[in-house]
Amino acid sequence: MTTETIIVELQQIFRKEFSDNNIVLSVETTAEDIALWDSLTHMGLMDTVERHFNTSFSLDEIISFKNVGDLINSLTDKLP
Amino acid sequence: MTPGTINYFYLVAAALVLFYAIKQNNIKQWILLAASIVFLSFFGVASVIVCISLSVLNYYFAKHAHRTDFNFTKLALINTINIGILFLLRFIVEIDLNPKLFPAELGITQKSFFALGIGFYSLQNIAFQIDVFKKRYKPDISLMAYTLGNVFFARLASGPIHNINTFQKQLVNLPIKFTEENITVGIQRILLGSIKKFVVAERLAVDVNQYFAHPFDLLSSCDALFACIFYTVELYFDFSGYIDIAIGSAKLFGIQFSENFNMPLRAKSISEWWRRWHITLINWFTQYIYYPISYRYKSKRNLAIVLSIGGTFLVSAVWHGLGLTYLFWGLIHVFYLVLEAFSKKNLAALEQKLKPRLYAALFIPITILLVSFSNIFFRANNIYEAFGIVHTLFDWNHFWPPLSFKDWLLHGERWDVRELFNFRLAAFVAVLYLVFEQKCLGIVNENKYSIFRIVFMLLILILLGVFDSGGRFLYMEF
Repeated sequence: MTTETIIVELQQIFRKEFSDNNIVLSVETTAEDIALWDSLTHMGLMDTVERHFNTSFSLDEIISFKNVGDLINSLTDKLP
Repeated sequence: MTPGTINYFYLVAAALVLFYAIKQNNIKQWILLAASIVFLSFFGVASVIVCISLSVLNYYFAKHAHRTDFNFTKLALINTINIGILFLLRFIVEIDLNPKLFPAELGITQKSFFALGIGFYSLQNIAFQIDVFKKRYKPDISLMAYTLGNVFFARLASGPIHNINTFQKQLVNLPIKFTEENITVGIQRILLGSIKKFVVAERLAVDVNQYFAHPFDLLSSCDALFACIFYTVELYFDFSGYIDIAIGSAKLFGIQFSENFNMPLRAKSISEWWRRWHITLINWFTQYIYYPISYRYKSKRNLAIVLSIGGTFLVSAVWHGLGLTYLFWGLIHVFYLVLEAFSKKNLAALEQKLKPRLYAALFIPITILLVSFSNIFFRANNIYEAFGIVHTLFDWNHFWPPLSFKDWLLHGERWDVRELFNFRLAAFVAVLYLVFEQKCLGIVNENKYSIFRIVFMLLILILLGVFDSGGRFLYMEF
């Protein structure tokens, strides 16, 4: 999958997860940019991403994601 | 000898002279280690033995386990030892010693078992073992650097908690010469911390200690309310004052500690409070307790939130102390955070509806009140007294004090002239600082040498400081 495809799908997940249709993702988007994205909601979000792309992240991977770009890089490595 | 006292600064000065007189990096590290052991020895033999032996044990254990097979059983064993010794020493200092085992002529008391900073370096040791076990990094640090990471005098008493690996990288590049930035920022941070501690916290402590020493003499809800708010402010100025001194002292030696506070009295929610208060401790709990639990249960959303918050604050409560008061304090924060998590969308909608300033004006005081309420349990001597204060706080039949408003405001009938001056001065400096906190922090962290600024801060400290308590910081008991 390409970065562009992944980011479009991620954007839909984020919008649904945080009930906010105004969310626009870029590789530089961080938790600072999305009001409801914090440590309380992070794991739930990652669970949804794992289910959607039918993949899984280790705990260290999840903790190491600094922005959406890191998440996309990890998905690019995992997905065919 | 505690940070901020004159003996502490003699030690820092002596260490600085030797540190910059020597060029070799490894000898500089030995100087810091020697100064740290001298500092630690002022707190008794137990402090030195426990800290050094736990450092050596953890170092060789991780080295050996990494070389052979670092399995889960080994990790459980070493961390059971770390946690066991922490709790054993915490338990002993709170009980009466059996006179048959410890006859009076031996001169061994509960205080003999006090190990300064054990709560803090135990967390570092536990994190080190987990990180090596998880292969996050190789234990290629030297024994001396590892021990120094635990015992370094600038952070030993109450943190900030640091990652041994990050600290090691800084030790490799210790400065050869004084730099203007290190000396200017170091001195300014030390002075700021000393002002927070000796001008504000020490003066507020007089009132707070009176309130909490006689919790059943509180006359009204207002008295109880002020007792817990004053304590929250005192705790902030005391602890952040210590951290400023720690950061400033380390900076003099070219070592950068992580910040431990980010203006917590401006938090608009409890979760934001915990992102701004005791940051290095909450980061530790987030990485080693909160995330593993929430990862384990991530598919069960609400359960994951309750379990991870509950687990984190239960461990945090037990880390702070073994009493019921800490347990209640932890449970109150679990309640706050779970409630906040489940009403997050509503709060975000409200924040959008109201203007940011109005939202802040509404929710900053609410957050301070909620934290102050929990701090009744954090500060009270026992659970009975804590509930006594809570009862008075909610006894709204006696909301106002039985005095005229003016008398109550000035506490004229209960305080003598000295106490009244004490309170007014502390309140004035505290409010002034909190209003201009961001600016003050910007100035002291600025690499711009100004003798006028340093003399001004020194004058405030000398003229307005209270130095007769021995300078013991509230968080040193942890």
